[in-house]
Amino acid sequence: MYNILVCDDDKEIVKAIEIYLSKEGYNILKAYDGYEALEILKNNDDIQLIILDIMMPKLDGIETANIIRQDKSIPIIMLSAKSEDYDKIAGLNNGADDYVTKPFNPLELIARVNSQIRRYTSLGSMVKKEENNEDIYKSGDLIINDATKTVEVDGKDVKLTPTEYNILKFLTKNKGIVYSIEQIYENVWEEESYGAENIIAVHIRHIREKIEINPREPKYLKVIWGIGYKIEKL
Amino acid sequence: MYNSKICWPRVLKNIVYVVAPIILAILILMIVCLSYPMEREAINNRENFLNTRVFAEQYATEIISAFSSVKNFQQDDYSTVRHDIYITEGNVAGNDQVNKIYYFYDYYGSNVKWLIIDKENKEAFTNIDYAIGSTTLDEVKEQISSEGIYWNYENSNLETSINKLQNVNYVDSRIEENTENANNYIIYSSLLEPLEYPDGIYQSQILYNILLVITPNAMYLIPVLVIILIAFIPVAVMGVGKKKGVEGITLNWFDKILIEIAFFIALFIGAIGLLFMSIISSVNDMLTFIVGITFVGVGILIIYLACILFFETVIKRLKTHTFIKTTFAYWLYKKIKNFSQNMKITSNFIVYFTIYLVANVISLGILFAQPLAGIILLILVNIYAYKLISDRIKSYNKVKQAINDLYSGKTDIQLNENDFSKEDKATSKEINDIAGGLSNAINERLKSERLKTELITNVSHDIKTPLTSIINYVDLLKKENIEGEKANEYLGILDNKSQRLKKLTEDLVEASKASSGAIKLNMEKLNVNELIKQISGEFQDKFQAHKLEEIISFPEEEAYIEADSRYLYRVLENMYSNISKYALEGTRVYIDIVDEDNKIYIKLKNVSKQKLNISADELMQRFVRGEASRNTEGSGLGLSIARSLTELQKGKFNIYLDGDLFKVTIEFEKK
Repeated sequence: MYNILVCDDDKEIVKAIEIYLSKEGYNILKAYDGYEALEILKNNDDIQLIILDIMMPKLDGIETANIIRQDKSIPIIMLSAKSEDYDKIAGLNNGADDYVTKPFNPLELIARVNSQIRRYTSLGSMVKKEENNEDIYKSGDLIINDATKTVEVDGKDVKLTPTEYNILKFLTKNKGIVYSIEQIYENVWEEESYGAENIIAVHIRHIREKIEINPREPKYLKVIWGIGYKIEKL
Repeated sequence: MYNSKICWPRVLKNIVYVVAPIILAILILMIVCLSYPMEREAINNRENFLNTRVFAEQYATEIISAFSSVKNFQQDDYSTVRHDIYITEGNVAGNDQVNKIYYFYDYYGSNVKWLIIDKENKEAFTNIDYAIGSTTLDEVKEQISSEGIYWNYENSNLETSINKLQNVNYVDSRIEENTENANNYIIYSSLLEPLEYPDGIYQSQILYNILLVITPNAMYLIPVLVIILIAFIPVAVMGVGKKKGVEGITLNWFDKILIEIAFFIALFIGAIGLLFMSIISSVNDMLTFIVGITFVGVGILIIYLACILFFETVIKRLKTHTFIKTTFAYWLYKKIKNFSQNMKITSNFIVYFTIYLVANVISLGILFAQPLAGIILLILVNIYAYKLISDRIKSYNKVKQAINDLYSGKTDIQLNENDFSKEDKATSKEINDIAGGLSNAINERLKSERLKTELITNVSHDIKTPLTSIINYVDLLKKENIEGEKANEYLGILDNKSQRLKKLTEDLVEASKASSGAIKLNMEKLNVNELIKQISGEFQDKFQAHKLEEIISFPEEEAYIEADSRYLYRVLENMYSNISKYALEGTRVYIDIVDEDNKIYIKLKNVSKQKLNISADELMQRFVRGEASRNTEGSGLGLSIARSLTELQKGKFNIYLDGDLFKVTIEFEKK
């Protein structure tokens, strides 16, 4: 049973999150401003995740996260109505591990919570895995095992079709590099491109839908519109 | 009235133009008739022309003219002789009366045949062509009739069948004036009947016959015609400037030039008419007479048209109240007014120029006395003048440059007034003020746009918080498995509307940011072909779900443009999303990438599901969408956002509607 601290000045939102996460088997601790959150953290060491609103009275989410980060490495998911790029950047720069905008999709929030918890709790076990295996390609928590032809994201298996697998493997192998549709085709199919393979684009979308929590804001498989695709080097 | 096929005022006016001169001609004729007292009696008695006084006078004139020709010929004075003269001499047989017969060929032709015999010199003169060649005087004489109209003069005795000349001795007295001894001459003459030549007699006969018809009716016809003519004036005036299907007065270039110039043009045309009238000056037979009359007619017509031209332009000007404004006097007044306004600059210039000239003249003067000093002075004066002028031009160019900068939107200019010549110092200050004011206004505007965006963003944050609860609790409620069909239906509506509210708030922020330009762009070179393939991939499932067939055509080469890939994606995403929402199911969607004129066009065409009874502009306005689509998904801001974002990236975004065909064209410079 993992404990999650949810901090938002809107009690109904806290309640709603509690309902969703309780169903997932988490135990919820509630706080309604920054000070309350800090107080709970001070008295309770067994907390695995913090969900933190930004706009709160007394002590806002950014400052709270700053203070928490001074002595704790618990994952923090920022939850805010502020959806501008610079808001997200500010949140991530001040100790947040993830950023979810309001109004949020409950399923997405749950997925992100699961992901963070998995990461935080299985950090030790990951070391055990063979790091130098030639058959393993990875970027962050995206791990492709070419020996077993399996893909794992945030510790969770993902089922891909052979074509999708090949595309993802190629991109992950060359992570950080942007490939155009034509280049992907030529490298994966190993034959001359004939210029109308927007089927690649369809595959890419399907891969994104499978490995990303929010395919519209992908973490791993990024779309550079008008140029190509790449796997982010994490 | 303007809807009818015929413009009645114009037609009436044209009728007047045709009828009026005819009436006027008749009127003039009548007035002439009435003021022709000599023939009043004859006309009243309806006498034959040959019994009239006019005829008698014309006949007498012919004889007098013949006689004076003869006399002048005898006195070797050819100046007034209007004849070619042929001589038949030495062969005048059978009669000792004369030795020579002179034949006078008359250019003009005369209806009077005459024979004049000079007894003393034994010479005969005639206009009878029998006289040519071998002939006798008697033979010539036989040609002169003694039956019809004749007039003979012999030994101071007059014998004539012309009543009006019987008791009048002015003909013979005129003959006697011409010679010392009238008794030496015998004159035979008779009238050619019917008349053959267009001489005075002939013309008088025509006139007389006309008079005969007109005069009896003139007394009461004249006032009637005058009234008709007067009534014509307003009709003509009314029709001037009217045109079929055009309200108001139609002006042509002729109505816009100075009235004086118009007058001279009309006058010039009139002069051409006069020229026509005088083309045929010598009438010697019926043919030239008819041709002459024709030319006179054409001349009168031209003059008449010139009059109409001028009349029309005057009336039109009066109607449009531009008469005064188009006079030379007014034009001059305007010029003088303008001139006096520019006087300051002009007078300055005149002063400088005078000084310059005087300095040059003095230098030249010195040059003659002291060549070296003169040359040096001349060079100095001109160098100084050159410097003054070039300073002035430099200063002027700076002013021009500053105004150009302002025009092209550079508002941060600050001119140093020391860089300018004396005359432009004030101007430079004014330009600074304008630039300052302009940049203030622009900053104010930007600030207010920013504030607006900020406000919208903040409000949207405030909306989002309660909206989060609504969405989440609706979701939780759905999971409660509530029984009852209605309750579930209501829940569905709540779910749908809260999601729409969410989209609306997001779009609102984006629209306001896009239109205020509060977006930081990251411009890079990207491939439109690649982008379209990517997006088509993204939307393939949605298109398939709506049974839309996508047909893409790419240019032969890769189509590179410069844009912000994220925002260009947003634009196209909006378009694709619109197509998937609003395109008629089962139709084809055409996406063409065209490389043309150094530009890349992305053209998207689809058939709308709903009737597009709306204009493209309206459609692009915020919140406005195709009729009846208000209740479907989307916020209606999509097109507005797409356009703003495209324009921010220096592209062009256009919508075309044609029936149910909905077409979007996005245009970028090719890179």
